[in-house]
Amino acid sequence: MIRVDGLHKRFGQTVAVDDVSLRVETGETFGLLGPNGAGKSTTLQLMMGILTPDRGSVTFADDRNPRELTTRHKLGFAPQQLSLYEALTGWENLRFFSRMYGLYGEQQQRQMNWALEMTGLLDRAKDPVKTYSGGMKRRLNLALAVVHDPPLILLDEPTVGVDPQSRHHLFENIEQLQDKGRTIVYTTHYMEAAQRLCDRIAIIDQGRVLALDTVDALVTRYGGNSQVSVELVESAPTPAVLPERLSVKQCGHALQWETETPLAELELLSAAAISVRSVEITRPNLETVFLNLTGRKLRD
Amino acid sequence: MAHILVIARKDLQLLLRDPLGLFFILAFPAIMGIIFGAITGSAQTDEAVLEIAVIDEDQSPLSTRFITTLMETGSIRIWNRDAILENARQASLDRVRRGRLTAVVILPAGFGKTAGIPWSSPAPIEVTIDPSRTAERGMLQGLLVEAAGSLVTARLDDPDGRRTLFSSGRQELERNKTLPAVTRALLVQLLNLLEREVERASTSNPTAPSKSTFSADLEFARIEFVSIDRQADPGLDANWRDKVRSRWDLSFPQGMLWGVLSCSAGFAISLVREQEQGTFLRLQVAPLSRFQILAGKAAACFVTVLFVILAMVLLGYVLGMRPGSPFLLALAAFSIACSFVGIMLAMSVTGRSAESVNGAAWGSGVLMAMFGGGMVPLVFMPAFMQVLSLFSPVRWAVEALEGAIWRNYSVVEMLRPCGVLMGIGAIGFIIGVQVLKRRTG
Repeated sequence: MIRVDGLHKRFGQTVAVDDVSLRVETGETFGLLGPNGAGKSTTLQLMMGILTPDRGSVTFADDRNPRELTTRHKLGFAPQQLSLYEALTGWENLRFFSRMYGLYGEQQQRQMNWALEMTGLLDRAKDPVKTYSGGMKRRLNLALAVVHDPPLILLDEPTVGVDPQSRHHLFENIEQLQDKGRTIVYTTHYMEAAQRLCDRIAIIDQGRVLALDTVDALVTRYGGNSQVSVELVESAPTPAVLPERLSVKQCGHALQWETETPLAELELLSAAAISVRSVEITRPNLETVFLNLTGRKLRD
Repeated sequence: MAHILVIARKDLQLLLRDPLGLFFILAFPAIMGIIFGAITGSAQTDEAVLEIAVIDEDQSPLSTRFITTLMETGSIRIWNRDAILENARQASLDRVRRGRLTAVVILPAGFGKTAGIPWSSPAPIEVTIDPSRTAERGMLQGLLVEAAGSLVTARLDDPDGRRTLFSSGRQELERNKTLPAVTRALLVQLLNLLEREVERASTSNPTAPSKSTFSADLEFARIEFVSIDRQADPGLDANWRDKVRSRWDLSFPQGMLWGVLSCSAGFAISLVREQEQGTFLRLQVAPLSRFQILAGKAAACFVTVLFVILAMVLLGYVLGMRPGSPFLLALAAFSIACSFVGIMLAMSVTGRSAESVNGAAWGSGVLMAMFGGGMVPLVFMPAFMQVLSLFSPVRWAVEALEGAIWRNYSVVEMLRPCGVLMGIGAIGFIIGVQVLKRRTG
């Protein structure tokens, strides 16, 4: 659907995007995961042709350029910043932007109703946007991006700054779009969102793509071992049943170690009749992937 | 084209939802027009009289005639005319000091003896004027000279006065030893001849005793104030309407320009606000060219400017303004709209925030109005400011509007201001588009 080759963009002395190459396949949800200032939004704007790259190229299906008006008809974009006319109602915002995409008459009404219904804003459509809550504005921001039912949807941090309930609602909206077979490019710095929604993820930092794969593959390759924390009933020296290769840390009743096979070692403790009060296994995730790749946390 | 109209409609919708913006675009120019009109009108009505006190220490028929003539000019109201004051001189001077009167005019004792005799040395009229009213000094001086001149006529109308006038003339000539004898004799003969002619004229016209026989012949200067106002519509019989009409004719072009400046500033801010709030980015992603986005914004500004001018014309019409040529007024409005749309686009790229564009737009607007005659009419400006005004679009806009409303410009004469306005608009449009293009990649 989109092919990005060697994209490079510099603002003054700052390199915002450095040699980014990726492919987004039709029907997949592709995530750009990275901390604030990593270059995700700039990459997205380069992909849409809003910014001109210093080097590299972006090509859509059928070798089309993103600046072509026919290509833009197929794009839906929800900017990170809420891009709404606050003095107009939700309905008027939708009507205006849907007309920009050439929707008129019955088709326009149908699409507007669909977008409002999907985002749960139908009953507030006639109210001025300035009276909406932050979560409702985010949902309208999404509705404006999809009202013309584009095959490719680019979402720039669509859940930033909203409460968990609204975030959940937005996730459900995006999952509905996935069910319709839409191709989605999704930038976020929330590991949960990327893990829940994205088929493939490019981890991006300081303008460079550090890793690109499915969530599972990234976790397997860069996530490291699971972390096991066990609290024993009685204080005891490090149980000899645990393999010597594990570097077990002990503090009173608590034991802690990293392993690829946490369940196997817990079975060894059980077989040795060592009483355990509680067990906690922390599986590696995208947060640990990012930490292992950059030495920093996603939200540093 | 459909996209441009949709963008323009959205901008007009946003404008309608902004009460403060609407006030500055519609109510503010109307207020300015009415205030300017009221100021202009008050200068033309009898409210603009000088209120003075006159102390008549002479109490002669000629001093009384002098005071009557002053009052008859219609430009002077004598405060103490009906008042009996015990200490009139001091009381009047106190009122001048406190700013309650423009001046005190004191006619000294003996004023009537020499008043109206051109060859005598007149008793000085003492005038004390409020220092803050020096602008009216010239006007007062003129009215006093005019009243003094009327005393010559008064003397000629009166047989005793005539005798005094000519005999004093002969005595004056006799006393003057510097004149050669031949010249003196000739002048005396001329005076005698004049006296006989005056006497004959006065006895041959006994049918109009109340009207001065010599007023036309003995005026020192004939001054006629010619109004620049158009002739009144013959269909209107109320004279006051003539004055009211000219008042709004003069003031409404200025008021309209304030509305146009408000439009221009408002839309310049709205463009940068779209960039700030991200809706411009959304429009950039939509299948629209940059030209369509800007043309939509420009169309909304264009329509609003035309609406402001139309609304002001209608308001002016209700008050009595009658544009000389509706066609030329439409041409002026079109040119002004083109010009200020271009200026709006240029101003919208002067800053990157709504606050900075707001400051720049209003600051430059006030400067344009100041130098262009939007605040003070150009005729009252010093020469160098009149030269600078050539660089202000407001000056050309005012000229175009005045040309259509009351200057009775021909189409050819309108081409200059309208052409300049269109040129300014084109330059502004190019600057705005180019800078925005560079800025938005």
